[in-house]
Amino acid sequence: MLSFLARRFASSVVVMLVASYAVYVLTAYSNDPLAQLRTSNLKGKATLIANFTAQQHLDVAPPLRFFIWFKGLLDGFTGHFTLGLNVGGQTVSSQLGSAMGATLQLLFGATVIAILFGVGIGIITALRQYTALDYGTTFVAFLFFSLPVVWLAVLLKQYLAIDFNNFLGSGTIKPVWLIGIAVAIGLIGASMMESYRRRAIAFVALAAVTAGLLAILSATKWFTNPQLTIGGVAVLGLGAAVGITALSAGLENKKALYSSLTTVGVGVALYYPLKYTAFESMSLWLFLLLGLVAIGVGALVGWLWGGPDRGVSMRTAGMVAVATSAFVAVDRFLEGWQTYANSSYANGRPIATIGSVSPDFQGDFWFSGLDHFTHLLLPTVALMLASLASYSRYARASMLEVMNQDYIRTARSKGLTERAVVMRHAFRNALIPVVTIVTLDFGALIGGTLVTENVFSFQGMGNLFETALSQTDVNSVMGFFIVTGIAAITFNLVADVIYSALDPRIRVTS
Amino acid sequence: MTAAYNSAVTALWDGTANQYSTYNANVQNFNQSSFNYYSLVNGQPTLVPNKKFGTYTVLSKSPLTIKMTINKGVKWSDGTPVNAADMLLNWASGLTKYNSSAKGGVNFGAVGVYGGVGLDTLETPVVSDGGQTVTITFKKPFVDWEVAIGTAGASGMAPGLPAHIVYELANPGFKGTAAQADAAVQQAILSGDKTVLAKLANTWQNGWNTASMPSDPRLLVSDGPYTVSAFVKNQYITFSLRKGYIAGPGDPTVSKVTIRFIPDATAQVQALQNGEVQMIQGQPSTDTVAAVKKLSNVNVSQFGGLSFEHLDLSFDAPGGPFNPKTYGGGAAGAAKALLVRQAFLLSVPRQQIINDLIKPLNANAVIDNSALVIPGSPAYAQTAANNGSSFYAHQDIAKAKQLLAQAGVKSPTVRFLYISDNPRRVSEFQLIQAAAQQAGFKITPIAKPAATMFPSLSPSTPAYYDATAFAWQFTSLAYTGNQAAWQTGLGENFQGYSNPKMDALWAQLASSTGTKAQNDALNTQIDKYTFDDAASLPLYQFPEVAAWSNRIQGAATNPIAVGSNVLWNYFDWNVKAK
Repeated sequence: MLSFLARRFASSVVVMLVASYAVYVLTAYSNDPLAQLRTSNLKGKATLIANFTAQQHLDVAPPLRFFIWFKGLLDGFTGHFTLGLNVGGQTVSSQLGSAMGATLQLLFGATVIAILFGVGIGIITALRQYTALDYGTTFVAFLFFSLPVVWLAVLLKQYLAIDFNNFLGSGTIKPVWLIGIAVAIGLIGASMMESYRRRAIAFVALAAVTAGLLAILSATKWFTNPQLTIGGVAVLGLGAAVGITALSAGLENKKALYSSLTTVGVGVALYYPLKYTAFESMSLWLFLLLGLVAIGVGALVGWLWGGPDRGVSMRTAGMVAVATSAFVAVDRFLEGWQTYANSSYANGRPIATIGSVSPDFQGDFWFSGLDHFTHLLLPTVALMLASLASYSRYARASMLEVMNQDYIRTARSKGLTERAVVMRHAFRNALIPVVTIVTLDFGALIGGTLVTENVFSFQGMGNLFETALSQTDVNSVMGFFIVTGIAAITFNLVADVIYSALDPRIRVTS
Repeated sequence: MTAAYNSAVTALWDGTANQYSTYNANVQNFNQSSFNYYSLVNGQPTLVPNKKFGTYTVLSKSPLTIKMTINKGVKWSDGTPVNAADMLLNWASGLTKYNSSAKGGVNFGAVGVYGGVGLDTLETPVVSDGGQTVTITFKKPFVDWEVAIGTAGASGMAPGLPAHIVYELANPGFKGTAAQADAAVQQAILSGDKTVLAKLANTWQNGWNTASMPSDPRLLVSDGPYTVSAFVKNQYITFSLRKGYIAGPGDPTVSKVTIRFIPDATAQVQALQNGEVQMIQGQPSTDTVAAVKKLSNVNVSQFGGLSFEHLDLSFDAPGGPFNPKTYGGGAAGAAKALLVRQAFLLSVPRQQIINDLIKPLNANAVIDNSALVIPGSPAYAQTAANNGSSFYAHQDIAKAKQLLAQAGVKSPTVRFLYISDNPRRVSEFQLIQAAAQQAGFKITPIAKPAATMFPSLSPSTPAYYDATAFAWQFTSLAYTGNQAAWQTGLGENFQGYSNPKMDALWAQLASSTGTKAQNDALNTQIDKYTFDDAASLPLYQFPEVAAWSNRIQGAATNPIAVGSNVLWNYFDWNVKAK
């Protein structure tokens, strides 16, 4: 393994060197950095051209100028890491830092959610191959996949921000919308069923429940001041407990079920105590720490319920603990919603269309959480919808392949429950190829997406690259190249390592 | 009050060549005050003195001597008086000798380098009145002195950066008072002390080059009505109203102005619609113009910007149909070439270009009829009426054919260089091509992307084209703004144009000390040569669009304002509560 890593590292360094030389020279020749100055009618043009030429070493031919840049790069080892100056006379490293921040903020959430949902949808559609659900989700996924993100973004801004904000002003759902949403939910539910009778029942039941719920929420103007309260947390927690147990352990595993339910009980019991202690002075680190504590508590509950299969109970209760804590946190976030929506930051129109934060924003952890949420909602949804399709297709194909393997038939013939077959034998193995794709995608993430960044006013890596290239700002282009190059190499390596860890048949040796 | 602008502020001082741009000029718009500024008078952009800041008077016309006095009580936001040291520092920053890239030279890296004229040719300035007054004497009269001394931004006689802070930052060990620092700066500039100046220049160039909120509050010191109170990289910058500000031009009432950086024009319109910003300006497209016009409670202004597109004919392209030498040179060759040029320009469908390409973006667009004066400025109507542009008032194919016949030239070939990566320019070329072919010209297209087209225009490379179209940009109402494009052998004279009579007029105008009317008349005469010699034809001003919520009363677009065309008169705004 070590020799593999060392060899990989050495060859990567060589690749980076050669590639950076090529990129440097090509970029430098791609355009005339003095173009703008040449056509200006400034009086001191000759002086300006001389100054800029000296600053950017334009008097040295690009194939040699590379070595000036490279020497600057080596200065990084003496603690003077700047990657040179851009055409504006600012250090490239500082530009890269902020651009990477913006890109990660924009893309990270969307990518994680897209992976979770994509894989989930892929598995479900594989298990229900050639049903209405399969065709329906495939159609929708490909629809979003093929929509240009710019257009998708404009639509989202119109409907999910501008119109939704108008709706939030009144808080009452129009009957047309109410019926439409109920029918849509009903249809989705019905498409999961197999016989006509079941479909009809699912459709009617789901549509009726949805319509009723929306009617109540609309009548009580819940949307203008959405609150979960302790009751909501309890109901959602119980739902999560049952759902997670069904997937993770099976409902017939009573110890696991009781562990889950107990965990929800502990969460609800801590609802008020937490609110008036830790939640008062919340910070990101405390928030994450509490999340870890919750997992610990869940695992402890599972261990205390004991039984022959403690591990399963602990795992299940841990996951339920995370879900319950999430509901408690959402409840606390929502407490500030109405104040936020009517604050000077939102002016009654909370869902934002641009940027990552309200100008001059000041507020505590919970309040700024809302501000981030309202700003990141649209770009995250847009990017997620656009990348959902590929993940769901990969996951579906991989799952279908695994489900047709001999060992799945063996598992079934052993008499294992369908849950155990799907979750333990099929799902895990189906993940192996998906993991590779996900890892490489994370590596590519850092390169940013110019179009989405632009339309949501995030000045990330895509933007940095585009601007640098149009200004023939070679140092900035090289900064971008170094970062994305290293990310690509690293994540390739990570993919190889994970692959071998997941699949014992593969060894990373030579 | 939040406005949108299409590019992020990347530095708190835009006087340097590295950071000079309209988006950085927005900062100066809010935190600088000056002797004069571009306002709208009767709807026309006009240079107006700001007497609340200070006064300037002409003491003598020969030699041209100007006395500038800053009013008592005008202070930087840290309480230090604005005085002669600040003026001198900004003046020194533009001197050609102090912008030297040679090793060991003083290098301010300024954008407003005087280039050997104007403020480059002063006798040593005289400071009097306890540092409130500076008197300057030009070695050679300079017609644009009023523009050069006054307006905010870049180099000139109006204060730019606070001299005492530049000195403190350049000399970290310095422990004296602000007054001592000012005195040291003044002393160094008047005596030409290069060791001190080199340090000042370095700080002046790099000290304010920050793209986010600086940790040192001294960098936020301003002599304008606002100071920067928040600045988040690539997101927004917020200006807060200063207490006790007295230096005009108006009395702003808006306590906070935030500029958000939104590059995408559609995103700007939707942000306006969603109430996230109240004011937008960006590059219009037909889609965004249509979208913004649909919004309720929003004022929309469509106007011509500072850039104007023009068609140039080359006088020195070897063998070209517009080159007198092609016809044997001399008076006869010149006369023939003139007829061919006139014929070509007469064939240009200017109205059609406006109707098809510009009107969808600016319903108010009109044909631009002056190569030297921006439409909408006070001198434009008079100039356009008398500069001979009426000869080309309408496209006239019949007359073009007749002129060609008169010249005895049959279907001459015109090599037309155009910018191929800009759809508007391509359409423009196609319209011109079709019309010229009707008139009997043959067109050989030379398509080049902007990246390679502009470098190849340089006057030092031999011309390989006969006609081309691109844009010049005005940056002020100075008379000499476009001199370099027309005078024999100067840097922007890409077309090889040379007319000794015009050169003489330029020399006369550049050092004129006459009245505005006299100067305008000289300018019109020069402009007349551009049309009479059939050298060039202005086409249109670039369309611009701005929109703002009708909660903001008093906003108006000004094509020549510092920075954004709609943010300039914040001191006249009145923001209604919702």
